[in-house]
Amino acid sequence: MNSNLIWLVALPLIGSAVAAIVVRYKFLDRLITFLTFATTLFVLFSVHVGQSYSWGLNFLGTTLNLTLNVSHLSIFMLYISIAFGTVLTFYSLIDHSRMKGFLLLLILAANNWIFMSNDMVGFFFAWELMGWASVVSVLGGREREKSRHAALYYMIMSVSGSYSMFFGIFTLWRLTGTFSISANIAYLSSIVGIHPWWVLGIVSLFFVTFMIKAGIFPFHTWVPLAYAYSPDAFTPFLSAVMSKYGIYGMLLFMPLSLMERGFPSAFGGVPWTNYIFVWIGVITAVLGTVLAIFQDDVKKLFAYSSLSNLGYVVAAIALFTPVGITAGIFHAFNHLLFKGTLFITLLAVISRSGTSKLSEMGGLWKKMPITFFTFFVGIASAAGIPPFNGFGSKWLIYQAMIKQHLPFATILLFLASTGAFMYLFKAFHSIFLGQLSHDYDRVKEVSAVGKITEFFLMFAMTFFGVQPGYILKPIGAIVKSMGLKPLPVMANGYVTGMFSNIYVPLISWSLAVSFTLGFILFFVSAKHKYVSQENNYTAGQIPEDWGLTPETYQFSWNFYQPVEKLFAPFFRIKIDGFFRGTGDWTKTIGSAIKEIFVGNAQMYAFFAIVGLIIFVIAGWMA
Amino acid sequence: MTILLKLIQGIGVGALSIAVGLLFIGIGRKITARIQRRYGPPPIQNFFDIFKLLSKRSISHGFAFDLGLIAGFSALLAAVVFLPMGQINIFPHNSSLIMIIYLMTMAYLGMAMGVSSSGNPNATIGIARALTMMMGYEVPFAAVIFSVYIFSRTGSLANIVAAQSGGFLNWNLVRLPFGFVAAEIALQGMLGEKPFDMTIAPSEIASGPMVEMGGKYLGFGMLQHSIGLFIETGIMVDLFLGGASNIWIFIAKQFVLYFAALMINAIMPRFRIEEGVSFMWKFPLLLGVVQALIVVL
Repeated sequence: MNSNLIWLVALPLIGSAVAAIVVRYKFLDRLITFLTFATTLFVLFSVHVGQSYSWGLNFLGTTLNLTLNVSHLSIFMLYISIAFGTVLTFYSLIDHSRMKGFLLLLILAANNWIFMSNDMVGFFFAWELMGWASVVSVLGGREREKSRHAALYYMIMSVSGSYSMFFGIFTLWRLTGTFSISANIAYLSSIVGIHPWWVLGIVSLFFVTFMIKAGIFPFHTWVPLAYAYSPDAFTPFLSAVMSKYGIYGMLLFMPLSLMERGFPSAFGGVPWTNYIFVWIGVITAVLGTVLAIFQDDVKKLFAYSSLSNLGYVVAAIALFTPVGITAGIFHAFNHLLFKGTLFITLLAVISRSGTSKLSEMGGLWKKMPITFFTFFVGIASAAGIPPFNGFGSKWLIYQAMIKQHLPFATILLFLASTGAFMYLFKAFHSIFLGQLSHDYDRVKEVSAVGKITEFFLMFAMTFFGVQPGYILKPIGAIVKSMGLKPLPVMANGYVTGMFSNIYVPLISWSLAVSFTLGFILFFVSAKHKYVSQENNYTAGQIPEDWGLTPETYQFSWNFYQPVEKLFAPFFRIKIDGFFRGTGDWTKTIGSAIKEIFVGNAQMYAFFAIVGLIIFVIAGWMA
Repeated sequence: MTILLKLIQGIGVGALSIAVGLLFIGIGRKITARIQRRYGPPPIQNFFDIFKLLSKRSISHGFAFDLGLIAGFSALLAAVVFLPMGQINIFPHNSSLIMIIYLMTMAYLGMAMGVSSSGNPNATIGIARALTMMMGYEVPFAAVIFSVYIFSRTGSLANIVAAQSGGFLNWNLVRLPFGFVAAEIALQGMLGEKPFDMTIAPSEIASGPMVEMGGKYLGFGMLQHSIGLFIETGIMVDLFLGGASNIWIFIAKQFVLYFAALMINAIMPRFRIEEGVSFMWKFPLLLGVVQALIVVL
């Protein structure tokens, strides 16, 4: 019995209650949020693998055993989520968006409960708490109407996912008579050889929920809406931490694929079910990338980018090989770090410029140099450029895919990676490079708190890029706990996949030496003088004669027009044809259903509760 | 002591790659001139050009401009030391091909950042075209890389070279012919030679990325181009032409590849961007996929 585990859930709840009381004073609300996050992180230091806590809940004459259990996977997820939350809430002290701190603390409580829970009732309850708190958090973006719509959409997706999981939980409970997650998974793996389709059906019910939460194709549609229209300070948490709940859930059920002898294996010794899932991940990665290239709203662009990165993670963990799982979890961590950083810098940029439209920004690098560098390191990480942190995991993912002899999936992932470079550069150019509009002449760099956060994040991205061993070792423990052989990681930087090895610090040294040489060559060669941004080569024309201003002399609209032409047939078929057809069909059915329902959110919530009660009663009667 | 030795070796390899790359470009200028019935500059003209450019005063658009161009040069210099070339192989256990490709991406990102921060839209249009083209040629090239990976059962360039030892018939050129053709077309795009030179189209977008570069910045751009040329042809030699037993044969093989690219360059007009990308995604990708299928099945 380790009562410190209960504090991980109780402390954020208490903090949330206090913050909710003082929510009118924004700074106080944010301060309590930050302090609670920091304290929770402090409490987490006393938590170790193997600790557990359980208590009985007497519910209508039946005793429910709620159990908290700390596994290798849960402690890893707890550390990365709470640490990132602490950084984010520290930054949010100076933020002015309408994020509510107490909601974030509710999500933190749910977060800790989800990662520690070993019973499905607690898991479901925490999942719902997280879902509802995040839906309410999405409300209150800069554009009220759109964020309301986004929240509603997110809620409907979330609720349908919850129904699916609820159904799965009670099906399992009928079969085993227990809510314990580990017992149920053990049961499933014992019958998977005899009834593979049954197991697949039950696990699919859970996976629908996890795929919705992680935003995996075909359940990705809520992601761009919710990310783009949520409060700017909440988006980093949504993208960095909350998308990982789905990945965590998937990882819980993944060890089943070890036993999947019931299914014939597809190519490269991957079971069919996993093979399909690999392709779902690959499609998500490519789809996210291609759609991100054409976005003009920067938050939407990075929402699609998150989609794409989670596709990578799913493709890697679905392989269920030592390299695959390591690469997947490592990429999940790296995505948390660099996408969190990118959204935090976007928060800084949007708060200073007041817009999230790429075509309205430009040239901000001279005004916000530290944010510029943080963003640069962020996109370098996201593009997988060494020595920053995204490189190791992308490299491992390719190794994992190739090891299973899946060249086509790998080629598509490579395409997604090249495409990622395109949209990242588009965002980079349109925000920071190019001509600075005179509207932004008075834009200032973020204040000291923001600078500290940005320096810290830059350091973290470089550190985990140069020394991936600090993350790969705990991941090795996770891989071992799943019954696989962990990858050898030596001296914190020597990574060996199946096909080749890299010693990451060596790359950094090589870069350090070559940059030194580059700088020396730069400074010994002839002098240069700095000129203003208007001092450009314009082929002999005088821009003022045409009435050109910095805004009009900035290339950011229709950035990848040739690519758009290239993908135009696909867009016509996929979006206009398929989705509109589906949309019309849904509309027809929807309007039929609308005859019965009134169509406001309260009614949906009411029906959700009625549905829940029916399920519970059905569970009791059976 | 070994560290110092490696450091000196690395700097030596960097200097060699610059020298070879500049010489190749110089010879290339001469050959192109002869095809067009001009006299052409002497082959070592590029060395004079570099010296002249680095010693000329120039204008800059700020520290991002400086840093970007330095990064473009330095990241390639960092990548070239991992390339096994003949008997010179400084880090034999660290020549993962994907690592080299990603390290080169840093150079492109640096270059893109530098020239775009100048605020000249022509430069940015050039970069947007370059990135689009990159998406075009990297897909068939990835298909080829992964075919070679699976075929040779290794992802390290040094081991790929070792797997091809023992005569001409063991070269991947003979064993994976479709892959070689696909990679050769992709190389044309990678080098930015015609018909895939829309990035630096002089008459449309004023030489694209180079528009704001003068003096030492143009010099850094030229250095970057020469190392890039060296690495790209070097990767091809290691992948398909069986590496080499010594550095001179390696350079000769590189030159054969560059010569082929030059010949195509001299007689071809230019694609439009979307035409270039869709061409890359038709024939080379088809060949690459056929090769991958042959290897896997």
